[in-house]
Amino acid sequence: MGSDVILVIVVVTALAFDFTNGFHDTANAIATSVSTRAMSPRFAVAMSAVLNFAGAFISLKVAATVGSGIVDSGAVTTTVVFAGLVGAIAWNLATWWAGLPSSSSHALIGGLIGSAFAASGPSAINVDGIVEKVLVPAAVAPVLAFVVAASTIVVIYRMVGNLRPGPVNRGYRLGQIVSGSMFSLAHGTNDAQKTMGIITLALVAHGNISPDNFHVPDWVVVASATAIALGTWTGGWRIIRTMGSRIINMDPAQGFASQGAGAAVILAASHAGYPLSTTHVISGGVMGAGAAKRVSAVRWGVAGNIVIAWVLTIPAAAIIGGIVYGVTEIFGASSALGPVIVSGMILLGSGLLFIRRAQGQGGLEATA
Amino acid sequence: MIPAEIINWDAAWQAVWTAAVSGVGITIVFSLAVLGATRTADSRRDDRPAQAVLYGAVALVAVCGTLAAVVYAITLITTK
Repeated sequence: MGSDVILVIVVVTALAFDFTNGFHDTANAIATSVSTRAMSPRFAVAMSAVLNFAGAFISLKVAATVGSGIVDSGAVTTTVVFAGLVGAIAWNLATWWAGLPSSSSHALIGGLIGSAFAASGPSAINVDGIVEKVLVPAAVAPVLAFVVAASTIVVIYRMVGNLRPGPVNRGYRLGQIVSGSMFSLAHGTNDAQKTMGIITLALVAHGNISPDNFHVPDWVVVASATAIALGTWTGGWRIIRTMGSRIINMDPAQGFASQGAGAAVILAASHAGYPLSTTHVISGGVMGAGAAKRVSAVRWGVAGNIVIAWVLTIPAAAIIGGIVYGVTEIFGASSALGPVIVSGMILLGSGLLFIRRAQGQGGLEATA
Repeated sequence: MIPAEIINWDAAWQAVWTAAVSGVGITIVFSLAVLGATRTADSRRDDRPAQAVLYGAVALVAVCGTLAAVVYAITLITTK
């Protein structure tokens, strides 16, 4: 009975993480389109929500690889997964509140590392896997996107710099609709699957699915796709504002350059089997498109805060995940009381955050 | 100190050069479409039909190239 309750809590928590992933990370995909007025805020979130929903159904290959090579699969229990998810959700909410774009995938990985470490000690952590699959790509992604976006904006200004700005801006706004759509679709195929993988892992750990017959049930696919689409529809307006206008004041050509370069970097990396964070890529692209026009055009203080958030993401989510695991263990390894209490606290805390956010400012119009 | 053998340098290098080539390449192709469309409108306004047709053709080819790149990108996304 207790393990059934824990499983239900894990599924609900995983869907809650998926929801935060939607409003947190998808903001990155549409921020530049919104700030250059290539799309209205409502249209941008609607388009992104639909494409995230569709993307979740396209492929299930990523779902089978969540956490693999990073934590020992033998150390993964439903309680470990629950604590890791709570670490990721808490960090996502904190960075959303601060308006800082950070990687939800890194938050999830950090949470799992912390909870697995607390459950089984250092032997549960694969340091080589973390370096290869997380840390090196995290360093490469923003630098590569920065260089490619800077190169593309130089090319754009050389090609169309002496033309009438009206039609040129209209052209690049049109291009941004396409590049933003590509970003949203790619995000849906990647990130919704991470939640599917987490829920399926919990079902395997609980015995509902045989490890020899690992498959993602249809209801998990539909629930995950719906959660990330609903999160996207809610809109991470604080992060959209940071990404779209606080790093640089962007023209449509720069918006196209950052999104186009970002999409090229993500697709090229995926093709080479090299996992990159969409958040890191688009942030690097925005900075590169600004710096190539004029180095002082980039608000380096804001950029520095974003980088600090990236560096802190894995350790912070890991610490929270570890603490949550410790708290749930106080009530017993197989007791549902710990996860119930922690879930209640998370619900209360996030409810207060959203209420304060709603009281603080209007929403869509704040970004437009 | 990160041991060099942990990192998959082949994959990293492939990601770097394909991203650079495809990013700059698609930008050039799409910018040709923008340039062609703008010049076509300007040529029509200045009553230079031959030049307008030429720039129109450039814009059309570039739009086709951009659409081909988008289709290829969707193929990559859906088959990974």
